[in-house]
Amino acid sequence: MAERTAVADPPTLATPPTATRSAVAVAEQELRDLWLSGRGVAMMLAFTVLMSVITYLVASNQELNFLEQREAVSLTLQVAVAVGGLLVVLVAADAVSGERERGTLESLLLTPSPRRSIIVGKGVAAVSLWLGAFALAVPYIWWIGRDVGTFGTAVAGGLLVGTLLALALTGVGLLVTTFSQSNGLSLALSFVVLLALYAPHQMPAEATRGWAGELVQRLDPFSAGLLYLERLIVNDHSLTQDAALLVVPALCAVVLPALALLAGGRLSLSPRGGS
Amino acid sequence: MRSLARLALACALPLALVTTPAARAAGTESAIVAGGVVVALDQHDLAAGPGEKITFASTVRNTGERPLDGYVAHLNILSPDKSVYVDPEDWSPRRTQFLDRLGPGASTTLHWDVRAVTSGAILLFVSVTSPAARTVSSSGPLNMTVGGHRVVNAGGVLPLVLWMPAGVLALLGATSVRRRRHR
Amino acid sequence: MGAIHGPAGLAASPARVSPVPAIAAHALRRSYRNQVAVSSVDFAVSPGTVLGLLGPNGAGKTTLIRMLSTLLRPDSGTFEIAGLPHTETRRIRQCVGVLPESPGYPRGQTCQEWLGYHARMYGASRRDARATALRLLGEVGLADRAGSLIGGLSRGMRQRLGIARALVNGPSVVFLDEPTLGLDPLGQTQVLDLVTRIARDRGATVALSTHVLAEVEQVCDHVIILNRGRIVADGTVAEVVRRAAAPRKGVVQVPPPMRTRAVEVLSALDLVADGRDRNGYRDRVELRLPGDEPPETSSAAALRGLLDAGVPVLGLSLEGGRLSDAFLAVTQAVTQGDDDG
Repeated sequence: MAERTAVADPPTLATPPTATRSAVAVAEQELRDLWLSGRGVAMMLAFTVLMSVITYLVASNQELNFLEQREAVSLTLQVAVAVGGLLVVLVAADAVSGERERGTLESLLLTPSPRRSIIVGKGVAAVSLWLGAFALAVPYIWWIGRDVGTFGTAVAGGLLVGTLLALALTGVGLLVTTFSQSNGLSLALSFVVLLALYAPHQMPAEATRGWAGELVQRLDPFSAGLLYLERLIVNDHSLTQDAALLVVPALCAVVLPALALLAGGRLSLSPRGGS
Repeated sequence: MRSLARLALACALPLALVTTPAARAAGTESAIVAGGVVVALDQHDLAAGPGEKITFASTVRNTGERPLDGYVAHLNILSPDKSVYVDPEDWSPRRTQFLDRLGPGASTTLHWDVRAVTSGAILLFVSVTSPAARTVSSSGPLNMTVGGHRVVNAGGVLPLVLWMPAGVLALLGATSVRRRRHR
Repeated sequence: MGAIHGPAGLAASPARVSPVPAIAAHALRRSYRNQVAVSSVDFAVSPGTVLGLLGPNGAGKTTLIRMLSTLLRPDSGTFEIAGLPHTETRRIRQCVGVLPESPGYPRGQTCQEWLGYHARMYGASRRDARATALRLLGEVGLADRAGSLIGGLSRGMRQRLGIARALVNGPSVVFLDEPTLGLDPLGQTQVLDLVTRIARDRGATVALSTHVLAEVEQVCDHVIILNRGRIVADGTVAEVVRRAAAPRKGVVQVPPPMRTRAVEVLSALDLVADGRDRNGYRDRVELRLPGDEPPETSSAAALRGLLDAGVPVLGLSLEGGRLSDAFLAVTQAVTQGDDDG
């Protein structure tokens, strides 16, 4: 063993940390763990490869080159939002159940930091993946839409819709991970929820006719958000013209993380609680 | 009295056939009569920009003596230019409308919403058919010119699609170096 | 409440013992579904004591530690840590350090990063957290591995890192759950040395949960033995051994031709463990002295019996009372009692 010093009196840490301070500490650590370890960057690499393939096909393949330019911008943005949401869910669903399985949750729970601060910090790390994906999508959106003057609108609309959806999905992932018995279950459940939210957007036009189809489209935050983007970019609407479509995404962006925070107060070693 | 009515009808029919082309020439509607059903559009020529939503109306008139039950109207969209790809589903999701009972001499107006997806010369017309599909009546064409089409300029795409992943890959390499340094 | 246990060298009298126990448990109980893990646990420990928590697998040691460190809520009963009632969970966590039984470590973080993070989770600033991490790594002998990824550390190093983490908030009470688990003898020695220094230099109360009885004999002032969720023994090592009335072993040496006669005499007195000559020592008989009377009484009876039978006694040696014997005696007695119903 290397030469050791005496075990001297340490500085006294008499006061438990505030909720904000704890949340900042957790957020910094999670961000460092996600990005400096390479995990987040690897996800971004996969994302940029996908965006490059789509952009290349849209731009150069004559058979696919029928899309009007605004439609191409809309498509690219929708892909960015969808894949960004997927990455957010991937990280959020691992946040608590992953730590449980790796045995690192116990050390965290032994600290006096509020449980909710831990949830907030992990949520920040999950949302950072959306922001990273969006930042990487901007050059593609600029390049595809540079001749039709949609860039500014597309970026503003995409950031707005994508962030609302990312917050909602973070809430979903954190809720599921807090109560899941295993990490595998948490990931599977979160993906099922993501697919269920994305499915209505993929319905054929005929299915969206009638009150039921329209209601599903309006109530599903994904469908509503992507429809908003479509109208914004393809139909050249203003940012506020279809604001009604953003009511459900905004509600989900607030309610779902709030529920996750509420559940986070009961965070414990076992998914069923006990502390 | 009956012979007078028959004489009037015999004169009216050629008159209707004569007047229809004149109405077309007036430029406000087009119609093709078949089987006692007349379908007319309220527009003949239209210009639109890509992505623009347009609305037009078609009038279906029962020129026969019997009421029309269960008739169906359908919107057709095509391009005479084979280089222009048209998927009607993209242009209008609601292209079929079912008519209510139409009494002799009565007419009904149907409204159609279309979004211009692709630029080029586009033809739209409305056809009406009976339940037994014995006859099909059709309106004249609505000539729509969708201009200002822009496709993505393919020039210079390679640097973007290559350098973006390359840049992220370089970042990934940097994190790998950092991990090795700390081992 | 059980007797208050003070550090070795202090009489357990109210006049000398701190009025505020470092750990005090009152009728603690915890069940998992229908399985009782801990039941009616009462004890108190003075500040500065090194307490050994013993018990077979499933005895409830880890459950007890988790309750006292506020990770688990007791079904009933109360406890205080450093005078803080069990309802003050955040304040208790602030003054308690824990090395869990099987802690996980993030492989992709460096030792300094991870320790610094935990220091911040106790309220330290970024600068103080960095300084604390480096200092603690030095104290546990990992100063040269501060910048190394945790994934590259050996098991022994990770255990030391875990102990450093348990000290990151300068705790007054430290729980160490199986700190030497999976370590080689050198690693065990190093960890035990660290445990001793924590208690001596910091004045912290250390509760050490372990299966290795030799460790307890080596470092612990006092011992609590748990079995099936209940305390079956508590006191100093000597007190526990004595109270457990564990049988003691000894060896009497006689001339080889008289060995058979010696075995007959000692068997009649019920003082023979095994009359067979297992080891090939034709001149020795293994004694088994009952634990419920002083060893000098039993050994005197053996000598008298042999001499009266005309068997010369060439030598007599007794083994010291071992904690392991006491452990087996009390845990098997409880098991036997439970089985008998």
